[in-house]
Amino acid sequence: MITLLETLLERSDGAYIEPQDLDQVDQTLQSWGDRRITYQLIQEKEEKIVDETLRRFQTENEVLLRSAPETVLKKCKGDLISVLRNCATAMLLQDEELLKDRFLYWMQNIMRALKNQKYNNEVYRIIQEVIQAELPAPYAQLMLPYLQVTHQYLSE
Amino acid sequence: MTLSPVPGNYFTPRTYIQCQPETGLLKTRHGNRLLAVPEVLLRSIHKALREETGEATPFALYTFGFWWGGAFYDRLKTEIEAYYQRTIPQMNALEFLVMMRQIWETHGFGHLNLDFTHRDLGLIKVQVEASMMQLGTEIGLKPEQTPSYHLEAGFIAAWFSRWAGKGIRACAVDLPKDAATLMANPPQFANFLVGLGPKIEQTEMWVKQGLSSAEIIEKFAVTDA
Repeated sequence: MITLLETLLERSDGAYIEPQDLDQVDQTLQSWGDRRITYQLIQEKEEKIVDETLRRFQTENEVLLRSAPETVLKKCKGDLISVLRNCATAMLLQDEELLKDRFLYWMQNIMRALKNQKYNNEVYRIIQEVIQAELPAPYAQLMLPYLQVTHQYLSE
Repeated sequence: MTLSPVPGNYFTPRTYIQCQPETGLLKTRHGNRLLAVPEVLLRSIHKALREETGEATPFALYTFGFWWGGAFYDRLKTEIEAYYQRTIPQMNALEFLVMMRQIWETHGFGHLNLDFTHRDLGLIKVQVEASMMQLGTEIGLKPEQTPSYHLEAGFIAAWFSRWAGKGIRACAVDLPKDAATLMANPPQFANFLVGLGPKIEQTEMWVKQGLSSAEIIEKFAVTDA
């Protein structure tokens, strides 16, 4: 929304905002109520979502984790909290660009340096399933696109 | 429910640099003032220094860069420690290096690549792409001369000196042969070798003799063995 509004301001300089651009703002605002609820739910369930994701990551990836350094799980937990909070904010504001600029490019740099992509590939696949299990479907759907883009960035 | 905040990417340009158009001031999110250096000023500094100090220009630029880099590190140290609630030595080295790359990009110092392959020899290779500190370095050069990026070398040396708490020097390597080569094919990158003072003084002599970074590293490998 922030990127959208910034673009609109720039485009409408010295003129009126185009009707189709206003429609886009209408659409964006329509889902605000649901987004607000989703945001609240994620905030309340943060610990549960993180713990459940890590638990499944551990049980489903015994082989992968056997050769992993001990610190991986602790690091994953910290990162999961960051990801969840950044994605929730991006979901609330409907701003994927903001998520990339403020968080994903930087996080991707760290992940590449640590060579953590193969763990992330699992962790951020699982968290999408956990979100779907923890949140009612319409709310989970709002959050998924941001987790998908995170999955893509942090696992490549 | 209150959750403790998790520190993120403090230096993202989207929030780090804040401008107040009504006063024309730039500030960091910590509130420190920032100065935008226009290209014309940077070129003028090179031109004026060249005219005033002649042969001593590289030395003057290096010293200038060293002071600049030192002051820069000290300012950022305060901001980093306030935000991350940790001292820099307590930080994970890898996260610090990723942060350093972000700092370079946000401030217009270009894309930084650090190569630690030769750490056994006490050398770090630093490659900088598209740095504003490389602007104007070709001004006032004689045809047989080539820019030596002393401003940037001083800056990098000060940063690493402060970080390591040791007397670190930096020296540009793999430079274009002469001004004509430079003009015909402007380089995208500048490469530096970074290490302890005496080692880099030796490097500077070898660079003057026309040795490439690969040859210099080879020489060190032989003498250190």
